[in-house]
Amino acid sequence: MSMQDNSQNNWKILLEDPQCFQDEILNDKNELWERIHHKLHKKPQHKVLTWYWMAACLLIITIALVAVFTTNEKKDYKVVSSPSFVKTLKPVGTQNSSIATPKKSENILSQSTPKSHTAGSIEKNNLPELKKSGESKNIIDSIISQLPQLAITSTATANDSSTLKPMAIAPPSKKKLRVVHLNEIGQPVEEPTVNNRFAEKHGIGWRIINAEIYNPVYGSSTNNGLLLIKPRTSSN
Amino acid sequence: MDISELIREAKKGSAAAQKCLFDLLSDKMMLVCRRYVKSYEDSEEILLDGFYKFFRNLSAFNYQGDGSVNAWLKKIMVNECLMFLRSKHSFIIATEQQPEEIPLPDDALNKLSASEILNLIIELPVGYRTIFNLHVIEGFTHKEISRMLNIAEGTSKSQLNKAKLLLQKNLIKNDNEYARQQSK
Repeated sequence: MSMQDNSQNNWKILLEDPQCFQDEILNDKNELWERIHHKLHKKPQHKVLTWYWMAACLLIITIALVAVFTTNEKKDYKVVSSPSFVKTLKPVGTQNSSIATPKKSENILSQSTPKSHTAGSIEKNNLPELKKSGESKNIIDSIISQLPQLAITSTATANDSSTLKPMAIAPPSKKKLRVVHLNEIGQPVEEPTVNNRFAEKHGIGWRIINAEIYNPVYGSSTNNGLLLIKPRTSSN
Repeated sequence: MDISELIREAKKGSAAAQKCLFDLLSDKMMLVCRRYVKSYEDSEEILLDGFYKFFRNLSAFNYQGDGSVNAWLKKIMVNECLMFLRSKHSFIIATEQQPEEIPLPDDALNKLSASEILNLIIELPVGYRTIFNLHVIEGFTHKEISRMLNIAEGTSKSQLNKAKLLLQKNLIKNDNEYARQQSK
């Protein structure tokens, strides 16, 4: 029985004998050993350190994104020296004494919403006609119909003297009103903030070929995080 | 220097002792890897990984004779091979009904040379080959194999029978070819 078992296991013993397999013997043991040795004595990498760096980078990126997207300031602005609508309302004031001085009209108008300031340009265009024709009431009515936001103050100046009188008589409020400047198009121009001034002074611009790249203004509401590229040839 | 001394020195971290152990045992272990993995290059990689694990965990090894070193290292190599095959999704063994047990053609195998036997085993499909190696050569029971490969015990038995059938078929084919060559 044991002889039979031996004969049965003979091929298994052969399979585990390296001398029977000349083809399967390792050719370059030294090279393999070098690889094992290198692996065994390799210093462990500081994975924690890389994680710290990655976390720090993520934090910086997050802060930068938050700073870019949460600010409410505009970058591009132009300061107009004198508001145009003040001039336009002068003739109205001369015609109707109850409206009184241009200063008062300025006060009244300056209280109105920014949308009403778009009327300035339109009124400015209509000014010569107003002087020539003398049909101020009709013209003012037409202007008022064009300008819904200005309607309240303008109707008061033109039509209803009863409502105007108390306004004119009323002592001028000492409350400091906010001055809104309009640009040539008639859009309100916001005053430069501290951030904008800082960015103007210290902003870095790079030139690439024929264009200038302006870095985003800190605190701009229109700033969407993109770099603004303007060609050098442009007037702006 | 005998193996016990080499083990003792290797445990202390002696690179020379570790190299001696590698030189002494690598050929034998390479054969183990070759039985499980068809590619020579993959077998070499598995051998390196196995020896790396062996030396890394040598401090936990309790020497009980030369046989224990061989057995432990062989176990590491077999596990490495199985891990490799699993990682490559090499074998997907479907659950099958348990067929009748087929006897192994020992007589026919004994007539063959070692390299011919190895070639016959390597030519088997991965699933058959793995179970054949584990059961017939390594001596694991079907229960142990089912646990190792996470398959049913019946599946292990059926795979083994199929492996044996295929081996017989290949042996007959080889015999026929040999007879044809002889007749020519």
